[in-house]
Amino acid sequence: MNLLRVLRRPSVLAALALVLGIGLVWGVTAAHAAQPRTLDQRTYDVASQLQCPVCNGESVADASSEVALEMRSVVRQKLAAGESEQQVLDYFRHNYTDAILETPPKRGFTWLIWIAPWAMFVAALLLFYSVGREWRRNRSGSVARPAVEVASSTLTGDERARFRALLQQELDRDEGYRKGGD
Amino acid sequence: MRFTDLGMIAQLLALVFAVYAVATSALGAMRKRPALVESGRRAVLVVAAFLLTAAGALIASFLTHDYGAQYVYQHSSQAMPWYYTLAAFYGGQEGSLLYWTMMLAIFSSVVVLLHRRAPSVLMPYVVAVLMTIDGFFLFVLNFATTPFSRFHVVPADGLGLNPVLQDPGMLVHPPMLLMGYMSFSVPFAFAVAALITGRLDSAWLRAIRRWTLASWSIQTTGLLLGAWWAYHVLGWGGYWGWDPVENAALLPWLTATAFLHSTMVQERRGTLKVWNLALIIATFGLSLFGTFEVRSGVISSVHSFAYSSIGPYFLGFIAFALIFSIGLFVYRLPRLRPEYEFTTIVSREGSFLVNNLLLTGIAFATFWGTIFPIISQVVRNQTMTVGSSFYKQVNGPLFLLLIFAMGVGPLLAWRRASWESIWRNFRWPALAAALCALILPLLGETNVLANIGFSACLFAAATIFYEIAKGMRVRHGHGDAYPRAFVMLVSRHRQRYGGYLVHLGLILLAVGVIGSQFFQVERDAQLQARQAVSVGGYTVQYQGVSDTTRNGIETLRAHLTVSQGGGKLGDIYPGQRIFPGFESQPTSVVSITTYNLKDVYVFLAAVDGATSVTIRVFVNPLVSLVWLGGLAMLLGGIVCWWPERRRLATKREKRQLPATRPARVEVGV
Repeated sequence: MNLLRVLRRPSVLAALALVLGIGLVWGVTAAHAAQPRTLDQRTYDVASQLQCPVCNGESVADASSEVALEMRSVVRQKLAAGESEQQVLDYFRHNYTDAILETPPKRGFTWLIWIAPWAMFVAALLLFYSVGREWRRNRSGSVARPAVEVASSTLTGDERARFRALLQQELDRDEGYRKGGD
Repeated sequence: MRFTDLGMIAQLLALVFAVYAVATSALGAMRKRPALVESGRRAVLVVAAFLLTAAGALIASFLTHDYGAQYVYQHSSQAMPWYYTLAAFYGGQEGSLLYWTMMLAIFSSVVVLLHRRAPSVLMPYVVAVLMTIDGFFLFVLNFATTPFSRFHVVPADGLGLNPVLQDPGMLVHPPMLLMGYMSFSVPFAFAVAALITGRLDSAWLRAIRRWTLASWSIQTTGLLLGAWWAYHVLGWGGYWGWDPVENAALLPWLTATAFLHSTMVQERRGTLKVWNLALIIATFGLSLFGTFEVRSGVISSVHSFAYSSIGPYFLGFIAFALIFSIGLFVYRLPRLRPEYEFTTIVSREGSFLVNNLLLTGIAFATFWGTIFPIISQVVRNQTMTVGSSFYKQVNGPLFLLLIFAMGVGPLLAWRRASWESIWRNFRWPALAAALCALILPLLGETNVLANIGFSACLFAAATIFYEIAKGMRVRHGHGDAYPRAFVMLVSRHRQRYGGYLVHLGLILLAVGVIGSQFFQVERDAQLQARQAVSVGGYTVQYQGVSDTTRNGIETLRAHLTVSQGGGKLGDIYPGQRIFPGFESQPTSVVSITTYNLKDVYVFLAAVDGATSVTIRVFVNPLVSLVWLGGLAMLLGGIVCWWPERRRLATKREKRQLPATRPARVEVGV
């Protein structure tokens, strides 16, 4: 298969090795560096998941209103008292309903908001794939189209550079003519 | 006669002439009467003249402090300096609509004058479409929400402008964005004209591309200014909050960016016509949506100060524009056959498709998040907000892929890229990115997501530099010295190298975003005199507070010193301003000082008596790169757009060409 042949090339193998190496280094350093988060960071994290109730579209972490300031200090106190982030969020949800959340939860009706963009993206990819298959079928069906790869592999670097310059000149002139035609 | 009467008459006459221009242009084009078409063109200039008169009348009312005019009363006061009095022109709904309408008339005049010798079949329809849009706005201005209505009794002083708007950024940010929204009408008009006449030739493509590029540059400026203003005024330590109104401004920018890329495919390969027209129609629809959203207040936003009841008119017009253009579109589908089929996804045109998929994907997710609260309200009668974490989680990965594709795309060949050429072009950039990915964690940056982002940015930047170096080498081989080679390369291929500059700008911006996103440190602190707070390696010590009043505006300023590792770096004075009439809405004067690409951002939240202040301190790494990158993008847009001089050397060069077109040769340009 084409893919297997490509995979066996030394360049591709080297690239794969490099990618694996990077993964390894990242994994190791990330594991090493996993420090407990500071209270500041945890407060900010929780506060940024809460909507400031009196501001227009600002989270508790961002808003400068007094309510937000107070809520931030409540979050901080609760976290300092040993509650988990989820417990603090639940506390606010219990008091204010889900509307206090800065972004809707990933369940029930509001699950739609999370899933729709990805569903669209996947649908577009599938469309892509099916259109791509059609192109390939068309290509293998038509004889008139020249095999382009042959041309590329028979050119030396110098020739390629020369052709590129010529092509660019020609394309530029096309632009020039078109402008003249305006 | 008062200025408001003059304005009223002028905008009414502008409406009359706009209707006249639509009628004569359409009739002249259908019946093939050049005299009617010419009359329609001139009517555009008349509309522009009357709208300039109306705008002038409104400005005169402001400068003469005519508080009998409701709009002047609501948005200005005696105490305001003259420049904010002028800016109050677009401080409210009526004025900003008048501004929109006037700018569209001016742009239409430019279109009419610039394309005097353009194909005569196309232009009348372009004029008709532009004047229909302007006519709609004029209708709203005349009959729904006029800036020239008066009180019976003249009040002594006005209410003043919302203090949030009394900021230098406000002098330029709203007019830029409104102009950006407005300017997408021109490509739309060209698209509709092409659909009506069925003529989508290369002259048309060039015109629509240049106009879209101009709009894109204006919109980019507006977005950047908005981000700048948010960062410097709102005091929450960020520059982009995924606020509904910000999103609305980003949407047409995204689809226009997609269009600018996919037209290159249409230009070179004669395909994607349908898709391109759809993108232009979507862009225009989204810019109407944006104008509507800023003005309607249907979605809760930090921009909610400008809100009103003209929503139904706008929704009606958006529906009309979309139904009309989609109808045309379907009717013309048979004419929009591609001239070439695609061959493979691993090619330049394939990479443009990927680019479009990502950009429209981001646009869809952003649109979806923006309107979801309305859907929730309607379907479940439940209010909710969709905050920035949604956009970060959904758009973040898409932007990352976009940056990566940005590195790959420009180096793939048209039609089909061979593995050899891919290896040749990408080995060094890929190696650089891999080394970056290896070195960053060893230097102590252990955030995996940030490292992936930085590596992708480096990869994309490296491919661009590699491409520029390659081009310079070719020119150098022809005998140019390297600096000259670079200048020649850029000036000869403005579109391409301007595009690279935009890409480099976006990469810089992305680095800035990643840096400030992942490594921002924030802290609230209540400080007594001489107390200090330490944030991200910087120590901020409170010294004292001052209170001054000038021109009725009270300014509170805290004096703090910033130091690092014991050494003093400087004094900062974050503050608050309290405007007369808006005592409950103090505006903040944020203190931002940049040390080695790190912004120390201090916001004065409250002054608690004489001895104590509450401040928020942010340390934002790399935010300066956001502005630098933005500037580079803008510059790149201008380089792309800048007209190229006609070349005298054309004839001479022609002789050196072989007889056959080498366009089929795989050269990886």
